[in-house]
Amino acid sequence: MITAKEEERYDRQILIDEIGVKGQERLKQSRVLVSGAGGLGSPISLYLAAAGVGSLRIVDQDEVSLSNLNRQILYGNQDIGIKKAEAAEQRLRNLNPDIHVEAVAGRITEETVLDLADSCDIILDAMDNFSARYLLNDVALKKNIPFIYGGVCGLEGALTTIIPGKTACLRCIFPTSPPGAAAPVLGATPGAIGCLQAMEAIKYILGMGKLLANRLLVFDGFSMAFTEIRLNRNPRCSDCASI
Amino acid sequence: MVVARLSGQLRKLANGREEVNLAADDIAGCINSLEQEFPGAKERFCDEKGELLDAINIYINGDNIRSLQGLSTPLKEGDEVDFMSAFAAG
Repeated sequence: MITAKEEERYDRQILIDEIGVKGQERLKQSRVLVSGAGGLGSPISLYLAAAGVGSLRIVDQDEVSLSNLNRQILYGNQDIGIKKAEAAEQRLRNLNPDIHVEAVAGRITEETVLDLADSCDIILDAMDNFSARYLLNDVALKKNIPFIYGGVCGLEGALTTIIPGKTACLRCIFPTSPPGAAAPVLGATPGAIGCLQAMEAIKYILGMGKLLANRLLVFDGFSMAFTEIRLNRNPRCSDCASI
Repeated sequence: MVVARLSGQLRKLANGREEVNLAADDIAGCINSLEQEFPGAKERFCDEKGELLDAINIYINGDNIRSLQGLSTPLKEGDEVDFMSAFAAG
């Protein structure tokens, strides 16, 4: 049940036919893993918290630095030097004290990923490297948890929604890891992609709309154009063929 | 003929065009045809040895060519070939 105060807080989205009070209650009961609290993790976690997702687990090992602040809108000058997990938790609690925020200041590794994903309804990719993304893909497949990929570079980015056993997994889409050098990023780019990832997560939780399943949405901010690439599962995929 | 579709900034290679119709028997031929029509295109996709760059992904009707026969993957009439850069940053 949602309280009268919550009904007021979420009034504008409860007005959406596909959400209503019932959908809002569903959001309140949901549990989401946000892997990374950087450029993508900032808008993802802010919008999921604002929407009333009941439980957010946010993982990031880094501390806030000045060069983060062009895009990582969870933070301000006062957070420089503080663990991102700690600063993010504070910011999200200020935004919405009615939800549960669990911030983990740690790394996503083979040893930690299973526990981090434990009892989550969906995993949001907000990482900056493919080795961690492949670990998240593995655990998503193993535990049958949907996984929303997002990645950016410059004024471009892409996202897709991976449903284990039903859609192409991250390894089907990107069999090998692209180069991992520090990429140029205009802050609004992860803003755009992160918002779309948050929207996909909410759609999945509420079972509404058409997901980006087997569709890679590519955004080009230079020309303000979206392209959609159709995707198939790889029947010989090393990660998901047996599912 | 096959349809080569370029996403994002890769369209710059084809003077902003999203789609280019090409005659090609395989992906390497498709890239060579693009190079012929738009000089400089090939070096955005391949290294000096002619291998596909790690930063580029190519899909034939939704299948990544790395899981097929790479640049030698054959093409047939009407195939859709999508070119995209992989975005790793977050």
